[in-house]
This record gives sequence, C-alpha cells and structure tokens, in this order.
Amino acid sequence: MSDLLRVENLRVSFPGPGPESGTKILTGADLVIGPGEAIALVGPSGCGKSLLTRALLGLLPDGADWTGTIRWRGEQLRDPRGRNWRKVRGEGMALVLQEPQTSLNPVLSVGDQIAETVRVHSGVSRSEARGRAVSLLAEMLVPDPSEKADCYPHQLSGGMRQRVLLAAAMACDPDLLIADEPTTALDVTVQREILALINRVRRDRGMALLFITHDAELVPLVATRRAEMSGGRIITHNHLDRPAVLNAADDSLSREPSGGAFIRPAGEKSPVLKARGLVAGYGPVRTAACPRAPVDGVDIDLIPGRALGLAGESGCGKTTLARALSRHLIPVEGTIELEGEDFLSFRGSRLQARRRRVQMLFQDPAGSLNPRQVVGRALSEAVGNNDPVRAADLLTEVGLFRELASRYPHELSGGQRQRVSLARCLAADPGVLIADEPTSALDMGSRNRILSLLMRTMERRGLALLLISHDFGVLHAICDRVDVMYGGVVVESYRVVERSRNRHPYTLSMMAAAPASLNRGQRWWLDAGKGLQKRSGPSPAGCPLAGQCPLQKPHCINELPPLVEVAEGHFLRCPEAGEGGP
Amino acid sequence: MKPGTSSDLSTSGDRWWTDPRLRPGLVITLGLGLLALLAPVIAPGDPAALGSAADRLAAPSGSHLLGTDLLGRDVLSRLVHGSRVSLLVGWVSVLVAVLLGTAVGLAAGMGPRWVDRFLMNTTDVFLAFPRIFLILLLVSLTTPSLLLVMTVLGLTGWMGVARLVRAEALSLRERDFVAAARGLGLSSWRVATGHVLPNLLPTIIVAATLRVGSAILAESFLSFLGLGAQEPTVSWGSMIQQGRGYLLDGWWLATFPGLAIALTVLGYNLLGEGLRRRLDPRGGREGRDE
Repeated sequence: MSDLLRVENLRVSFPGPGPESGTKILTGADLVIGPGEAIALVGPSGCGKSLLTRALLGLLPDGADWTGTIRWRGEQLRDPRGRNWRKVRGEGMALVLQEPQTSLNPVLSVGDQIAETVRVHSGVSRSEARGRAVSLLAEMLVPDPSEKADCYPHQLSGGMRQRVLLAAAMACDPDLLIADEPTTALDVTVQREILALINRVRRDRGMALLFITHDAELVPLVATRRAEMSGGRIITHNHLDRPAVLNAADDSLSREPSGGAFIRPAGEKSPVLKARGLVAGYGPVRTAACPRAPVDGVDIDLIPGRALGLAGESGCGKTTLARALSRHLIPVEGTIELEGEDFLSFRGSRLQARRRRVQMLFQDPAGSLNPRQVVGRALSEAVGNNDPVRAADLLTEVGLFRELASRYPHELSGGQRQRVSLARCLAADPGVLIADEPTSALDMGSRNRILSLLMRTMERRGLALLLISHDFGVLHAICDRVDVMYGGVVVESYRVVERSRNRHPYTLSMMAAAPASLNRGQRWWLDAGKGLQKRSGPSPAGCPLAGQCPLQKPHCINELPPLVEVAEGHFLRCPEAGEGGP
Repeated sequence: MKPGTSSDLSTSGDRWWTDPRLRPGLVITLGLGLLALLAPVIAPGDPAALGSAADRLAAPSGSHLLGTDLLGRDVLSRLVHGSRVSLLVGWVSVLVAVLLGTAVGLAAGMGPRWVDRFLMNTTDVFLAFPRIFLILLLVSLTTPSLLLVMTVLGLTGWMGVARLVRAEALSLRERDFVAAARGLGLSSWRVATGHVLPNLLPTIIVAATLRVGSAILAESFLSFLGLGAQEPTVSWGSMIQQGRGYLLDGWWLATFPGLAIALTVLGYNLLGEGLRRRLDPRGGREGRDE
C-alpha cells in the first residue's frame, strides 16, 4: 500500500495531576490518507480533532500519554523528538491554524516570516528566500505580493493573513497540508475564497489535505472523503462522489416553503416595533472619507409572531442596527416606535421599564452572562422581583434542568449558556426579541436545537423576532421575510416563500457562499462564474456594491438606487438585477 | 471542575493552598499576619522593658536572640511588636486608597462622559503632586501620629487604583452581559455595583496586595524620619532610625528591622504577583474551554 499517512488505534490520555487528569481524549482513532487525497474531518468542538492533528505532528502537550501507530510513507514514527519525525514535520506535513492573528509574529513583516521558513528548509541565501516568499504570496493570489511582503500582520485583513499562513505552509513544499478550522474566524465570502484557494493549491501541487472543521457545510467544497469524529474516535468514512449534497443536520432544519406548516394564516398584525430612516454609528458618521454611516437609513417593521431575517456579512451594519433598535446605541437620525410610543424619547425610570419589552440575545453566550453570577440569580434579577420559582420555570421553558440554577456560566456548555441567555430575555416578558447571530458560536448539534427552541418560543409567546445571521439556510428555515443588508443599507427585502431568481447581486454572492441555499433557478450565478470583485479604494457614495459588482453600470457609482418593489412584497435596490440570468 | 476556571474567585477555594504560584507569598504574609496578631504571646519579653546597665547594646546571644538596644530593650520583642504597626499601617492605608480609588474609578468608567472627564482630571492633578513631599508637609505641620500617617498614605495612594478600575470598567461596560443588564432595565447603579464591580474584584485585589508592600515601605520611611509612629509605639522604621548611628557597634539594631521590612515587602509582592497570575485568565494556564 502506498499510503501517505496511516494512523491505527491512536489513543491519547492525560494521566497525572492537572485539570484534565485521567481523561481520555482519543480512544482509538484510525485514519488513512493517500497521496493527493482530500479528507475532511468533521466533529463537534471538544471531540478531539485538534488533539489528533497535534498527535500526527508529534506536538502533543507535555503530560499526554499516547499509544498506537503512526506511519508516514510506511515508516513508523515513534519518538516525537527524534530525527524521523522532525523531518516529517519539516518537509512532509504543514499546519495551518484557525486564528491567523495569533499564528503570525506581530513584530516581523510577513515576508520575513515566510522567508525564514524557506531558509530553514532549503538553506538558500537571504535574497533568494525573499524572492521565494514573494512568489509564494503570488501563488496564494495576494495582490501586489512584493509590497504585501513588507506589511506587518496587523496591516492585513483576516483573509489576507490566512493567505500568508498558507504561503508559509507551502514554503517547505509539503505532501500533506493539515488545515485546522482555517476559515472559522473569517466571514462567509472570504471563507469561500480561502477554500477555493486551498482547493487550487492542492490540485496544482498534488498535495494531500486533511481539513478539520465543525462546519459540515464546508465539507463538500474541499474534500473527496469525509471522516466523522465523535467521542475520541473516527466513526464514519464516506466517499463524496457527488459534490454539494445537503447533510443530514441541514435536512432537519430546512422546511421547504411548500410544506404546509410554514405558511401562516394571512392578515398582518400591526408591528410592535417600527423603525424609520434609522441612521446610526459610533462617533461622527457620514464624514468625507466615509460618506455612509454604518447604518444609513434603514426601515424595519417587527410583527408579533413573525420572524424577520437580517442577512449580511460582518461589517455590513447588522449588529449596529440591532444595538440601535434595542437602544443600546442612540441613533443619529430616524424614529423608533415601540408599541405605538416613541421609544427614543423615553428617559430615566420610564426607559428602564419600557426597554424590557425589547430584549437582545447575543452572539457569544460566554460574554453575555455575568461570569460572577449564578444562573438562578441572573434570572431572578431579570424577573425583577427576585422570585426563585419564576426563575426555575424559565429554565424549564428553555429546556434546562432546574438544578442548573446554582451553576456559574463557566460550568455550562455553550448551548446551555445560550439557553440561559434566552431565559433571561424571556424573564423580562418582551414583545421583541433581537437575536444577533445566536448560533454562530455553537457547534452544529446545539445550533439546530437552539434555532428550533427560538422558533417554538416565538410562536408560543407571539414574539416579534429579528434574527441576524449570515447563513441563508437558517434564515430561510425560520423567517418569513429576509432583509439583506450591505454597506449600511438594505439592498433587498423578500418573502421567503417567494423563490424568485431575480436577486440582488450581493444576495446572490452571499448565497453562493453556501450553495445549498441557492435554488435551481439561482444557480446561474455560480455557473456563470460571476462573483464580486475585491474592492480597491474608498467606499463609494452610490450603490455600496459599486466597484465590485459584475452588473455595474456607470450610474451606480454616484447614486444610490432606490429600494423598489419589483414584485409583490419583494423589494430590490438594484435596477440592473435580473438581467444577468439566462 | 472543568479546566479554565482560574479566573474565578469563588469556586476554586480548594486549590488556593496547592497553587505553587501563591505558596511563597501566602506563607510569608500569613506568617507575618499571625506574628502581628499573636505578638504578645510570641514575643519573648516586653518591648518597652528597660534592661539593666549590663544589658545595654548587648550583641545577639542566648538570652537576647537578636540583642538589645541602647536602653537594654530586647530587639526581638520590639521586632515582633513592630510588625503590628507595619501591617496595620499597610492594610489600613491601602484599604482607604482602594475604597476611594474604586469609587472614583467606577464612577468615571461607568458614569457620563463629563463625570469621567472631571474625575480623571482631578486624578491627574493629584498624580502631579510629589506624593512624598505632600506627606512630609502634612505630617510636619501637625503632631505626628499613626492615624495621620494611615490617612495621608491612603489619601495620596488612590490614583493608581482609580485609573486601573476606570480602564477595566470601560472595557467591561462594552461587554454583552452589561448590555443585557441594561436591557433588563436595571439602573446604572445596579449595573455598576451588581455586574461591573464583581468582575473588577480580581483586579482590585491584586492591586491592593501589591500596594500593601509599598505602603509598608512608606510607613518605615516616615517613621525613620521620626514623623510616623511615636514612642512608646514600636515601628520597624523607628528601630532603624535608632540603630542608624551604631551600624558598627550595634549592627543588629538596624539590620533585623531592615530585613523584616524587606521580607514583608517581598512577601506581599510575591502574593500580589501570584494572585495576578492566578486571577488573570490570560496568565499561566490556558484560557476558557469554549
């Protein structure tokens, strides 16, 4: 057999004193990687994925005990500090980690860091190494590679830093690239670019890939084989013959609009929260350098028992809008009407009482709970009268045991924390719930459970829900209407039941990042290979997409197109959209 | 217990003793604390009892382990009793400084912008005063007493704490759990005292511990100048002052109190440093598990 890497019955445990003592992390993992093969290793956080990669590299933390066999090209690796394993680390395998910020040395220019790796492995001269570094950057499609080589890590964007790390990993010309959640810290559109880059580099170099992720949706985009990990061992291997199949976790969520359960009785209730012409930002907005505010003229209607989705990549103004709607940030312009009253005029104790009607569920459940407050106290404080019975009822309502009331947040799992946060929101008996990426910090399993809990809660309590996400699969499963936001303005607003192929170019580019959410009629966008260009230069005064858009016309640069109703209930801020499709 | 709970004060009590980062500081400071509490029991004699003529300026020996001073008083007894003054001044003045500093810092960090600006400008003005001259001026204008020393040290030592607390509060107030608390309609006072302050405790405790050492040094310095503790109260600083003229004939007079001061300051600095590493989630062990 000509395997590149063969792992048999790998077990890792931590004996001796220390916080993890006695726990077995890996309990007999087997893995075979052939030359040039691309394998995705999927599993929830904490299942031992990262430890497996460290074991492969012989970089287990001190105090870890391991047994089993690891063979590289048929040769068994025994001593992590020995010459064989060092050679494999240096020339055979390369590792790219999740967080490009911390993997790079902040005080060295990126070119020097890549050149250093080149020199260690090939012993060429300084200037030669620098030349290789620049050509590696060019291979990773870094624009102006020789200029970028002189940049320091903090001067580059997250996606660019990840390209630098890939370039450094390629410096030793490895046979196997181990990528440990390389795109988790990036937003969807950048994520997709990096994945495409990894694919291309792998094919060009005939390199094998071990791609580790908790996000099952990415698997078909990079891998030909999928290994699933759970409880310290690898439980399933699938060959992915056909690309881009929906995974099981998704099926439970996506309720096609044809399903009867989805369509609710007609007859709109009047909105509980109504925002008009909201302009919001931090510090001075609409300056000469940046003519558009982070949120620049947004109208929102939140209707009881209905969910409105707000989509957009990071930095598009979603979170600023959420904070303005909940009055954590006072808008610069515009009005917010809460249950018929002017929300922005409230002051003092009246504000304290009325703002309880608008609750916010935050992205990071670890940060949204006071680390020094037990769950029960947080909830009874939120109820307002320190009633422990009511607090316990709330725990039951969100599907938690009452016993959790005496726990501190750090003693809970991510999913449990998010449930507690939701319970705290419900304690205030809100009319509006704003959920800002409530599941993006969670793994797949808890993600789906939290989303269905959100939906049940909304229906039972008749809440108006504003769900912020960049994941169209989630939005389409839960929401009645989706607003797509970019550059501080809503570029499109559509009802989910309406599966029009007439979409804003930005909406399509976001949907293309998760191909499953495109319907058949919308795939022309992917097939035509159209995509947004990287913008160079300042953001335009006109359409926020100007300079990036394949459908761009001259007038897009200087005037912002109006939001026009192109079909019943479908609003689009692009006069050119719909003409690109076949 | 899960790993990554190092930042928590309340749930990790069982491991305080076994934490190697804390042990040296804990041993020294707790030992000194016991010494001060039990001074009358531990000290071999009365610190004020005058000895016979033969006993004056006696070198360390079996009857007087650390020798006697000019008046024949037992140095060991005086040293043990002197620890009370040092620790009392150290703790009380730090308590005053920390209470004041926390109040100012929290008000500046959590209050409206004009409050912040006013309080921080005031802090800058206080910082601009040369502290030691201010103390000397105040103490020499009035009758020297321990109470005065403690008050003055406290009133001139709060600025660092205030800045620290303000900076930390400014970052905490942007955290989601504070936004959530505001969203629940809690008053600013409740948010500041119920949610921000408890999360400041590790910072405050570390700052306080590290400041005890320097307060003890300051007290010794004042007593050395004769502006601190007055006879018959014994203080390490005044002991050094009395021994200063006899460094050759009676080296034990100044040496042992000097060593005692050094050990105390070292103990509190070790404890403060250990606490900082233990309570700061980024220091030492790994961070959160999720």
